[in-house]
Amino acid sequence: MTVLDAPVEVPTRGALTSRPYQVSSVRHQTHDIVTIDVAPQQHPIAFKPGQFDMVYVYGVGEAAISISSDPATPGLLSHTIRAVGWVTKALNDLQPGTTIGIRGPYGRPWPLEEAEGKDLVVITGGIGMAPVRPAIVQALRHRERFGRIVLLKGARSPRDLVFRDDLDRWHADRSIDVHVTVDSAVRGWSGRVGVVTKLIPRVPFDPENSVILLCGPEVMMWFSAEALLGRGVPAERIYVTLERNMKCGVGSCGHCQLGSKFLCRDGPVFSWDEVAALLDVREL
Amino acid sequence: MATPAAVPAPLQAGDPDTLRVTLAGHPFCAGLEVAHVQAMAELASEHTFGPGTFLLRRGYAARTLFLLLQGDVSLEIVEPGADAIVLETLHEGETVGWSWLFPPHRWSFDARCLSPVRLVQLDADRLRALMARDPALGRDLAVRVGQLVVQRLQLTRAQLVEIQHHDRP
Ligand SMILES: Cc1cc2nc3c(=O)[nH]c(=O)nc-3n(C[C@H](O)[C@H](O)[C@H](O)COP(=O)(O)OP(=O)(O)OC[C@H]3O[C@@H](n4cnc5c(N)ncnc54)[C@H](O)[C@@H]3O)c2cc1C
Ligand code: FES
Repeated sequence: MTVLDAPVEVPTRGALTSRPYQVSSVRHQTHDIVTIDVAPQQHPIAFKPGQFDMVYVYGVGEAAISISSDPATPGLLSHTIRAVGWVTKALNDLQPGTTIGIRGPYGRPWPLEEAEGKDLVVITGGIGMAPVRPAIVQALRHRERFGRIVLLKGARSPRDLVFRDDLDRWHADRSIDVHVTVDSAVRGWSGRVGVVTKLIPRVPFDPENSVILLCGPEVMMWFSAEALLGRGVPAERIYVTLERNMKCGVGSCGHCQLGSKFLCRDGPVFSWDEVAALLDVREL
Repeated sequence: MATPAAVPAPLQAGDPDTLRVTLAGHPFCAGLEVAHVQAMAELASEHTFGPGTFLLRRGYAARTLFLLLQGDVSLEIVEPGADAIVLETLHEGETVGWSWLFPPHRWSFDARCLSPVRLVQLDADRLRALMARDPALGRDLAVRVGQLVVQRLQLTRAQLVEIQHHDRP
């Protein structure tokens, strides 16, 4: 068994009661995205890349949030949150020292073991970096097990770029091939402008021997999957994470049902051949 | 309207044989008949431009097809009194502009070099004349430019959807 396959202890899986954790720091990534750290010394949460927690702001409500920290340090748990509604706005306004509730980790992780011996291509849009960051960090820890590691990262504008420190570090140490593009910019931005999809046909990786991790707005995942299929990547090796609304997070309420799948229990990570047809259906 | 002063004279013009090979290796020409590439090479010249150079300016006559060999170019639009908005960046293997093919043959945007740029440029007036004389080449090039327009339109739609998505409450 490889280190990547090591069993994960899931202390609270199945439980619907969250545990209280004190926020140790709040890092502002952009004007509407923060990373919140908790240091769960008493109850470290072991997780696999791609899993999520249900994060509860007392008196406001609960939202599914991916874990964005390093799986090798379960004593530091981070969640990166974009303010879109009540819960996520409250999370963006939190101060260090506040207590929040967390239950998890839940869900099917990214299939990193499958990517061993192959090129690992990570494609993200917007806050989509949050769920894939642990996978990149873990892959880099075992760099020799992978072929090329490529990150294609899209953002709306330069000011919406998250995890800039990571991007700078990865770019500088060259262990990963980083390509950043933004949807719009004013003169002065020296990087690429255009959708992340446009990078797919040109970036060097072996379509027949690669695993793709894809995370972002659904429409971006659609365009990207089309471009990947066009380049010859088989649908079963394109993995996406679906972030539809959730309530229980453990497969009992049906809130996240998409066709025959419960996204919280069967996902949130799926291969493209499992979900492409479901994403086509407007009402789901 | 005159050619903009900002577009500099060629620094380097290749011989037709080298140009034929260079053209044949550019994605825009992939799969073209050898005779057609040869005919296009006779209208072509290779150039290098420094960062900050404008390859084309909005409103000016579109008289050139640019095929990027190296370097980065930004397509920009400027509103008076505001920063230039970068609509898209173009890179090695891409084609700059299609207004040379469609009336009124005027550029709609500015294109500015972001880095040292090496490219092949083709005289569009002569290229259009060649396309009219040789219908097979004319059809082939028109389809290629059409594909570029469709690709660019799809990417622009994706870009709009993404921007719109981020703007949701
Ligand atoms: C498995 C999983 C992992 C997730 N990981 C993260 C994460 O790491 N970070 C994060 O910020 N979010 C993440 N989300 C999304 C988050 O759970 C939802 O956005 C949640 O609905 C936010 O709750 P809320 O009460 O703040 O907003 P709500 O009251 O649920 O929504 C308010 C408004 O925002 C819109 N909205 C909801 N979600 C989004 C969205 N994602 N993008 C744009 N508009 C939206 C709604 O249509 C509504 O108009 C994840 C979701 C899932 C299922
Ligand atoms: S959120 Fe309840 S079943 Fe998935």
